[in-house]
Amino acid sequence: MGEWSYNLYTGCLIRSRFPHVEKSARVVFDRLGVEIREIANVGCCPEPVGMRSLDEEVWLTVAARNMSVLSAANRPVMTLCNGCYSTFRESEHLLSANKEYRETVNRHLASIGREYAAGLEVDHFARFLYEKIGPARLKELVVAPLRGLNVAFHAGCHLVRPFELLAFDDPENPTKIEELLRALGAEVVDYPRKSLCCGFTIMGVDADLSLKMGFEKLKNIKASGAQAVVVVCPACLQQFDVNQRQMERKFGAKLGLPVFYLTELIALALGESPESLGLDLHRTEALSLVQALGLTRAAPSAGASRVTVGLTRE
Amino acid sequence: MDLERLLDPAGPTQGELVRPSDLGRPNRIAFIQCAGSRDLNYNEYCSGYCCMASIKAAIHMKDKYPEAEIAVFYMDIRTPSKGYEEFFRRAREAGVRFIHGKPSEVAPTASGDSLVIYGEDRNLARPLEWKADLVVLATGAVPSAGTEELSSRLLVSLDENGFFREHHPKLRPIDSPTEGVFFAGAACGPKDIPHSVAQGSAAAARASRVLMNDRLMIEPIVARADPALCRQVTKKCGICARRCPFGAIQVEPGQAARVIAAKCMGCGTCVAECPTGAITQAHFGDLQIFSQIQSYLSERPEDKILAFMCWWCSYPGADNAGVNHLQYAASSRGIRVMCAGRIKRDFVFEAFRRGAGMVLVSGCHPQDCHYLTGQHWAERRMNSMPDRLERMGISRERFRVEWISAAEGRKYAKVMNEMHETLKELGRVHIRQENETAMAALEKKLALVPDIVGAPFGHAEAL
Amino acid sequence: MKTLREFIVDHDVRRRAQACYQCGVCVGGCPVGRWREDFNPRRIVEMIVRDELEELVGSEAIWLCSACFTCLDRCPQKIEVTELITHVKNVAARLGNVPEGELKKARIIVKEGWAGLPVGRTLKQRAALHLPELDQDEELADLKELMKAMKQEGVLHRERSSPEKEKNVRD
Repeated sequence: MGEWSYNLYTGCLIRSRFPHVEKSARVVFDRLGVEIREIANVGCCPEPVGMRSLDEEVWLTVAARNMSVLSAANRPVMTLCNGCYSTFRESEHLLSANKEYRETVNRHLASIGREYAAGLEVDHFARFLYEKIGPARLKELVVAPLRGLNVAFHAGCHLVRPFELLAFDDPENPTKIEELLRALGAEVVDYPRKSLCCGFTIMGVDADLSLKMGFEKLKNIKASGAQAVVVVCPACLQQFDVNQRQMERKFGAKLGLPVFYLTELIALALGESPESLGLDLHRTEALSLVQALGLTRAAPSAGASRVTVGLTRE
Repeated sequence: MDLERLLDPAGPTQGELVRPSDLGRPNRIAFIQCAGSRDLNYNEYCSGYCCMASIKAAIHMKDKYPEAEIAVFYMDIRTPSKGYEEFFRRAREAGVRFIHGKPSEVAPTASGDSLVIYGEDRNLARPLEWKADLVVLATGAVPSAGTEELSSRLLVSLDENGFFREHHPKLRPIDSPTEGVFFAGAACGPKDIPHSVAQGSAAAARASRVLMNDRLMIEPIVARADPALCRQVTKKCGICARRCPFGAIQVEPGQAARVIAAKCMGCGTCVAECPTGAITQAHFGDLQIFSQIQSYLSERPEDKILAFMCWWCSYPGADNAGVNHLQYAASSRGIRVMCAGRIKRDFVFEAFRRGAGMVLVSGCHPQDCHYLTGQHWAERRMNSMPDRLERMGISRERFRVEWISAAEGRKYAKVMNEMHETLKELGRVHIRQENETAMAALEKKLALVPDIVGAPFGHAEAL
Repeated sequence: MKTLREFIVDHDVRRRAQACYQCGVCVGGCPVGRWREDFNPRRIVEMIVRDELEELVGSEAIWLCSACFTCLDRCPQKIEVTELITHVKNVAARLGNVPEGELKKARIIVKEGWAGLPVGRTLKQRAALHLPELDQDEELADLKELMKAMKQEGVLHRERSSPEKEKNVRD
C-alpha cells in the first residue's frame, strides 16, 4: 500500500505508563501498511483540561510550539490519545479563528525563534482506522476472528465532542468504532448512558467522585453482559483498567472487566500473539479472557510477533 | 399525534392507554416539551401549540387514570390565548406535575423495561432522575411535505424555517407576496386549531375580494425590461429573476427577461441589480433620479447632505422627526424611492460627482422591508461603498447607511445631526479637495450619465 | 494587568452566553453535577451573565468540570458552557484558587515538558516489547526556555498570586 505516512505522537500517558498500547498500535500500523515516523523535540500536547483550566495562554502557546515543530516534517500527525487529539484540534481552532490569540502566542514563541504554523493535519488513530481503512478492509485482513467476545465500547469524550468541531461520530451514541469491532468478529453490546465521561480528568480535584463516575460506567457495562471494555484513549484506560481495583474496593463490588485498547484487539484479530503485545501488563487481568476464548491459537507465523516496523529517525 | 390516536375512543385501543412497546399500562408518564423546538440545533422557533396539546392530553389521562403519575417537563408554559391559562390551572389542580427544566437525556433503566429522564429540577435547583414508563415527546412542528415544491410552482418564497413567507409579518399576515395567493393554517408557521380557523376564514375573505372584481388594479410603478439591452438574450444571466421576491420576472434561455406587470410590486430592486441597465421602473427611472440629484446639488453642493430614502420606513421616519418638532440640520435633501433596493451605487457616485458633502442611504430595518428582500440587496450593494469611495479619495465618513423605521424620527434626526457635525468638521475646503481628487474616477464611472438639469427640454427623452 | 471583568465579561464568549435561557439541559447531562449539586453549569452561566463573579472565582466547585463538552453539544442555544467555565478557572487560578492536585500536574509539565516521565520499569517494558528508545534529556531545551520566558513575563501563574497581584485582578 504505502499510501499513508504519519508522525506518531504517543502522548504522555502512553509514553510513561502504557508501553503495551504503543506496541499494539505500532503492530497494527505495520500490518496495515501505514508508515510511522518517529518525532523528536515535542513535549506534552499539553493536557487539555487541567493545563487549559489553569492558564489557557500557556496551554495554547505550548500547543502552538508543538505544531510548529511537527509542521516541519510536512507529514500528518497520528495521535493515540483523545486528550492530545483535543488539544491539537481545539488549539488549532482557537488560533486560526482568533487573531488576538495568534498574536499573543507568536509573541511568546518569538522568544525561542518559532512561529505558529497553521494547517497541521492531525488524526486520531481510531478515526483514521474507520475513515481511511474502514470495517470492510479490516474484515478482509482478519485471520483470528474474535468470535464469542462480547465487548462494550467507550469512545471517551474528546474523540467525538464537541461535535461541531470534530464532526466524527454521533456523540450521543458513537457507533462507528463498533463497526470496526464487529469486523473483527466481536459482538458489541449496548449499555445505558454510553456517552458519560469516565471521570479521569477530575481525579486531581475530587478523587472519590472520579472513581464513582468510573464505577457507575463500568457497572452499567457489566450489567449489559459485556465481557470487556474497549477504549481508544489512555486516560479512559487509566481510569477503567488501572483504577478498577480501587473502585472495586471502594464500592465493595467485583467488576473484573478487562479493558482493551482498540489496537490490541485488532492486533489479536490480525494474528498477533498476546505475549508479544504485552497483554500481561494490564492491571485488570485480560490475558485469561483472551486465552479462554482461544484467541491465541491462530497466530499464523513467528514473524508476526516481531516488531517489523521500518523505523526511521528524523 | 400518536398519543392523540391512542387516547381516541375510536382509535386502535378504543382509547385505552398502552405502551406501544409491550402494550402494558404505563403508570408513570412524562411529557417532554420543546423536543426540537426553541433549539438552535433543530428548530429555532417555538411551535406554540404543544404546551396546550400536552396539557390537554395530561388532563385527559389524569381523568381516566387518576392513580397515574403524570409530569410535564417544560422550560416555559405558553398559554397566551383565551381560556388557555385557566386550562393550565385545571391541570395543576388535577395533580399533573409541572417540572421546570428541559431534560438532557432519556436512557433505559439497567433492566431495560423502563426509562429514566435525566434533567435538572430547576425549581429545586438540583439534578433530577425521573423514572417513566412512557415518555411523550412534544415534538416541534415542521413545514408539511410538499411545501418546497408548492413554493417553486407558485413562485412564493419560503422563510428560513421552510414555511411560507407572508408579505408582511404584522401588517399582511394572510397575503403572500404574489397577488392572488393567500395563506391559512400552518402554511406560514405552526398554529393551533382556533388560530388556523381564524386565518382560514380571513384568507377566504381576502380571496373573495379579488374574485368579486372583474379587473385587477395595479400600481403604475412597475418595472419593464428592454429586450435590446437584456443580457439573457445571448448569455446566461437571470439576476433580475433571482432578485425578485415576487416571482414577477420570467427568464428563459435565449430570450429577454419579461416582467409580469400584474405581479410586479414596484420595488425597483431588479432595476438596480441589472448589470446592463436593461430594466427600468416607471416613475422611478434612472434619469428621473439623476435629475433630482443634480437639482439638489446645483448650488453649494458641499454644504449638503443628500439622503436616499425608502417609501415606507425611512421617509416616514424623516416625516416623524418633523411631526415631533425634532431639531435637525437644515443641510439635508431627500430623494424618495419605493425601496432601498432601488438605490444604485451610481446614484451615490453621481451625488459625489456633483459635489455633495455627504450621502446617506437609508431604508427599512432588515426584517421590516415592505418588499421582503429589497433592503437585503441594498445592504449587500452598499457594503463595499466606503472602500470604493476611499479608493477614489473620498473619506469613508462622508457616506453612511442607516436603517430607520417609520417611527424612528428621533434616530433620523440624530443621524442627520451627526452627519452635519462630520460635514462641519471636515470643512468645505477639504470636501472640495476630496471631490476634485475623485473626479477623474467618478467621470469614468458615470460617462453615460448626462447633464440633465439646465439642459434644453427634450434632452432627457432623447436619450 | 487585566481586570477581573475584562477577563470574563469582555470576552466574546460571555456576550454569546447572554442568549442562555436557563433551561437546565447542561445540568441534566452533566456527569459531575449528577453527584455534586454544588457544581451547576446553568448557575455558573447565569452568574457570569449577571456579573456575579466574585463568588464564582472563589468557589471550589468550578474545578469539578471534567471538560467533557456534553453541555456544549446539547445546549439548545449553543452556549459554550465548557469554555466559559475554563475562563472562570483561568481567573480563579490567578487569584490563587487552584486545587493542589491540578497545580502539581501543571508544575510537572512546566518543569519536564511532559505530564509524566516513564520510570525505569516502563523503560524495561518498552525494551522487552522492542519499542524504540525514548529521547529524554537534551531535547525540549527550547520548550523549557519558552516556559522560562513566559514565567518572567508573568504569564505563568503557577505560584499563588501575591496580594498586590490579586488586587490588580480584582479591581
